Amino acid sequence: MPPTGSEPPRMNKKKGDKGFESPRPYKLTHQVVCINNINFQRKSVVGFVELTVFPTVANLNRIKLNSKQCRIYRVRINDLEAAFIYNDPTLEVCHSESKQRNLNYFSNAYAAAVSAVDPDAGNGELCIKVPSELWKHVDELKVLKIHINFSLDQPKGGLHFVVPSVEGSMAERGAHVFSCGYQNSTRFWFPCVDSYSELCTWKLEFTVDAAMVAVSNGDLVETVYTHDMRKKTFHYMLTIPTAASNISLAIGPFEILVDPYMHEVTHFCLPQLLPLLKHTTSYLHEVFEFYEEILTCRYPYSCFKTVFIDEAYVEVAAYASMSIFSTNLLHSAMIIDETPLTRRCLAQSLAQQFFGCFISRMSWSDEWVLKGISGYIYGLWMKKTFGVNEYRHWIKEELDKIVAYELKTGGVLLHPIFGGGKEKDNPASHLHFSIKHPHTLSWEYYTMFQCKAHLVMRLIENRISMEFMLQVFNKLLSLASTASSQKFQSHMWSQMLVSTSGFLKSISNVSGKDIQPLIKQWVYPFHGQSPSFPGALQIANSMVSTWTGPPAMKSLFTRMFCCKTCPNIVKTNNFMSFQSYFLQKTMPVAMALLRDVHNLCPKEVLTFILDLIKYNDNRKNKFSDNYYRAEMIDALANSVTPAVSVNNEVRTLDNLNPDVRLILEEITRFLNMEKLLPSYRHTITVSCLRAIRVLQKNGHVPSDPTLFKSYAEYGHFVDIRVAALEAVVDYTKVDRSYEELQWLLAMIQNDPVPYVRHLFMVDVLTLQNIVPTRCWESTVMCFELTLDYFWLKPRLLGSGTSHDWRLRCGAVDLYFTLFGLSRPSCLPLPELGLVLNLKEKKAVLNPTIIPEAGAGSQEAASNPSSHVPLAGFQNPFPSSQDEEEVDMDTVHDSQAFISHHLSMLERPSTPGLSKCRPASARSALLPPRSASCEGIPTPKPAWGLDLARKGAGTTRALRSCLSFLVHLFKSVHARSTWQLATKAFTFGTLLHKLNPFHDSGSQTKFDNRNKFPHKVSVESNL
Amino acid sequence: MADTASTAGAGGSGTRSGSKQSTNPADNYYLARRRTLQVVVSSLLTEAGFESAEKASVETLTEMLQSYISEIGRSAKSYCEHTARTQPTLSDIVVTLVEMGFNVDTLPAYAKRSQRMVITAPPVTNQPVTPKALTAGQNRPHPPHIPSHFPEFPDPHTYIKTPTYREPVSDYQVLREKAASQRRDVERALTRFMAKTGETQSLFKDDVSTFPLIAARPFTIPYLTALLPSELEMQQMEETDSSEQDEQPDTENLALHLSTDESGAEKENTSVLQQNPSLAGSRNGEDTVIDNPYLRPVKKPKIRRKKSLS
Repeated sequence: MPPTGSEPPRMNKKKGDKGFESPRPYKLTHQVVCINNINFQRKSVVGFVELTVFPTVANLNRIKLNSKQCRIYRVRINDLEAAFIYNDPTLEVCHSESKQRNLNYFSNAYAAAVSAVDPDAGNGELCIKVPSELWKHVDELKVLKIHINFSLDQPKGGLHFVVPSVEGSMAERGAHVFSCGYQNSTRFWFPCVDSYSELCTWKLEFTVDAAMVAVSNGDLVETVYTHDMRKKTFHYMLTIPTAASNISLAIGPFEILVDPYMHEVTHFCLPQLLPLLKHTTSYLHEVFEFYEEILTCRYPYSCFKTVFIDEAYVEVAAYASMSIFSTNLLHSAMIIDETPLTRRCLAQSLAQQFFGCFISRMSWSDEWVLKGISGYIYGLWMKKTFGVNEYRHWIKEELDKIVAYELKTGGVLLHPIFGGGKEKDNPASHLHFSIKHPHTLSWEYYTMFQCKAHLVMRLIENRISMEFMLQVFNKLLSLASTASSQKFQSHMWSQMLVSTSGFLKSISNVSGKDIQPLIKQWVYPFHGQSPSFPGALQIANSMVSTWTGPPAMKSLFTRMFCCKTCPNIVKTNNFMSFQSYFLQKTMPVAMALLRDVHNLCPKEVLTFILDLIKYNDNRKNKFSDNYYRAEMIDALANSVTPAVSVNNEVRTLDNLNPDVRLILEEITRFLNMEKLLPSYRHTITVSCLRAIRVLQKNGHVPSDPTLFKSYAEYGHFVDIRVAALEAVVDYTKVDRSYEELQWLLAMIQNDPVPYVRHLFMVDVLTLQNIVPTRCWESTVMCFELTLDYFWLKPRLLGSGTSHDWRLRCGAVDLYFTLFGLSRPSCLPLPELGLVLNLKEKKAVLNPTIIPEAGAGSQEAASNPSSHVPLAGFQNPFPSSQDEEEVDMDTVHDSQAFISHHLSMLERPSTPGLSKCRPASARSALLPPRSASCEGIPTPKPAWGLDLARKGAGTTRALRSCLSFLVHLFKSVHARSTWQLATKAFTFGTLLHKLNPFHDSGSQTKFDNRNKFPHKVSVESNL
Repeated sequence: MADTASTAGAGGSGTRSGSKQSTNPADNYYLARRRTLQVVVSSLLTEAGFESAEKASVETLTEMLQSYISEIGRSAKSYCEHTARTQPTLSDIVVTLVEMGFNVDTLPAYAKRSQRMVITAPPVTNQPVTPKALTAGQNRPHPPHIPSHFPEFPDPHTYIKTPTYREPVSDYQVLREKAASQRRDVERALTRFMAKTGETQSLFKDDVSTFPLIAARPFTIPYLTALLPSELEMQQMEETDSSEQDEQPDTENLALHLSTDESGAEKENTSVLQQNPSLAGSRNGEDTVIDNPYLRPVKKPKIRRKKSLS
């Protein structure tokens, strides 16, 4: 984006060639945030902000700012009292008694509400009237100082308080608070212009208890005691122009660690964790060096801070000169598996420091550039650190994910504003949410969006070469850093904003290549739901293989890991070689998936795994074996096959399968030992819970969610909670229990940890099609009650989620999943099929829809797979309960079907029928989701598979190798098994040479793996 | 007196540890001693002007005297062993008496008092006879280089060995087996105990004892137990660290750890780790150079600060 640049591409109408045109009638140059009281007991915050603003138009008489949750006491402009109005339409998007209880209506209303306060549309929740005394002043475009006093009481979002209920002062209790949120969410904790495109310099002051530390953006200028010496004030200055959305705060009794390699880098963690912090951050300087080297650019800020906090909103959150991490990333030197994962998080956050924090974006549609570039340089780091194969494996995984998602949901658009904003040719019509704003976006979609942005960057690199790519980045950075040093020329600061057109122009300037076709295809809306990477689907990388024959993998394992003299006893653990460690812990898991001719796990395999557990001896090991033991439990779970059940007999101890008894014995002991000697991140508890669920599901143990519910409670470690929750979700799925669904929804509504609520939501999302199934008891009743979670207070689609964009978008997804509400705009109907009047308990058929609906229903009927969502509605009453059964096959005539339902609705004698039928009726009316999406299911992998897949990144690469081994054994098992085993063994030794953590030399060796056909196909597509 | 005390003590213990054959003579010996003490008590009573005394009171006084003398003996023995000797000396006794609150200076005068009664020494013939150890064969004579006053060689049967039929547990497999089952037994017993004494959950509604699960209990700060290594692991780590293995990729981090400890300790103002001598030299110099705003001292408040800079 050179200053004298030529015309930007036509397709981007928003930008002129002068660069950025602010959507706001003023320019913010400086903001002071002063929080002078933080009360942990009451979870409240009191403070003020002062914005220095230059009007850019004459007769500016209203200034709109963003503010949510805050109570605003007083606003003054240049010391004159100013009137203000506060209106937040996103709180309650539509009324609970609305007739329009449907997602289409909600999504539209929600998108409208969000843009009504969108700073990038010049809007805001807080509208301040400029006092008439200042009008003349404004007309001369002179500076305005807006001083706002505000307070925040028990914030539900934006700031998260963690206050453990133990004895002692707040500092002793480890109480802390930190800012969090999805995209621009700073307005939740102080009034500001909550946009990534409004940059200004900052002065930040936080007065906290003397035992606490306040960490924020920019340089800590000084720390001063208050007069009573009981508190101290942290003064921060951030001289690099920064968007409010990149401002953050963390306050707590942190332990402080100055990075021994880079003294300007400081790390913070919660009390008692300092030793872990030292180990975890000891690697960070290498990431710094790497990025600075490839970008040939210094890290833009004068300091960097990492803060590790509990109950994190996301694992990694990058803000200007500071990153907030989940405390669960901390680990000691004894832990192998967490190390690469944590390092990846550190590297990711650092990449975003350059692109995302320092360089911001002009508008939401330019987000993909930032995500793409940070993802790309992070990818380069991955390649260098973990080796080419791990990198390729990662890329392949990303590809698989996005392909699966696009097949399921439709294309992911990187540049969503294109199309001039006309509703008609909305390219995102296949989605049940609006993609025009980050706050209306489904989280899953956003994840895929980031994924795709990075992959597109790789495509561009492929076209113009890495050298040019890095030159472009360097150019962007150097322009930005020149602009950032222009202290008094705030108009220059827009050079720090990246835009799609600016980025593309830089590319063509630097490389001289025309990448428009590529960009047109990938960045701007491309249509249809064609898989973006043909051939990728063919990549079958499944570990599950079945063959008959001796478990040859066992002899391989014995050779590699067991004692020479007594082959049934595994050597005492020594995990010095990470390669063999990962092999050692993965092989039994894979082996347990073997099945004999009766489709049972061979007895000798089970015995073998039990022996591994029995003889496991970690006393001489430098590393913890908690992940290894956890995987042994996974292996046990993998060996479980469905119980042979006679007449659905009740599962009791007496008829317990002897093998299962052995397994249960181990699980019991492991789970109980965890209470006495807990393992790192409770990996063993997690595996035990999963294994118990597998036993339940296979009918060996009575199916019962009680145990899992107790582990899902608040107060357990988050990994345990999530594992327990997954089990409950699985139970709900299998047993179709309405009770549990209710419990899950209540959990989503009430859990104190936003991250857990979010994870719960994501998990519950896998309950696709669960509501409309035949066995569901009293379907209508359940619908009604379930709907209440969304529409009645505190509603998931209303005030219950008003403080957390991510959660609300999750609720939209969930609603969509549970009630099968279809795509809003591809649907030819403007309104609901059935309009309900709850007061009169009547439903009226929307007259406009009948013909369309008929077509839809026929289409549904012609496609057997689409019967599934209909079936439940067809038969909402179990035959025992009710009189009129509807025969699914006869309802080809949708009108008859609808009127049938209507007649049922109007029958007053039937309890629980009066209200809320829209979901059921509607899903019958609408064309069901495309056949392709039914045909190619992309559910979460089965339990066993899931277990096999989890683990560190390196494991995955190794797993591919293992699957190759499995393949090898399977394909030629007719020949001498021994010969095969030796072959495999040489292959195993090859694996030894792969170093997952630190290498460049080993890359070449391991490239041999490219000989495997399924890997090659990945590369050819990239 | 000292002699009496120590022998009395020895006599007491002798009864307990003595072998079966010597029980009767030892008992006799013990009774004789006691009789002597009774005579002493009686004479002392007479000396004090009593004409007669009840048996019970004489017994009690005897008991007291015996305890007192035993205590002197026990204590004197401790003093003497404390100075690495086996034979008590006079000074041991003196110290003992002083320690017991007895004024030693009055002792000579008391011993020479005019009205004292002299008791005949108890008959020595009562000394228990240690039964002779069974002798089998002739002991080996001393070779010329061993002086003759040295003890004799043990009896010849001491040198006879009888091989057992159990193989020694040097076999690797057996050792592993043993360790594994031992650990398993301990774990099982421990968890069962915990399950029995606390709240449990069960996978089978009809049976709560076969697979008892210790009930899940939420923590107030769950991340601490989840992240911090247990004490057992810490201990293990120290042990394995001493047998340092070299290929470890971040050996350099070890040095790093120490250096960071210093800055951390300095910050915390609680000496977490004493300065490591090998690094202190180079590091100390740098410590003063590290200019991190979070390490700077907190300033005292000024009279009035400007509220904001803009």
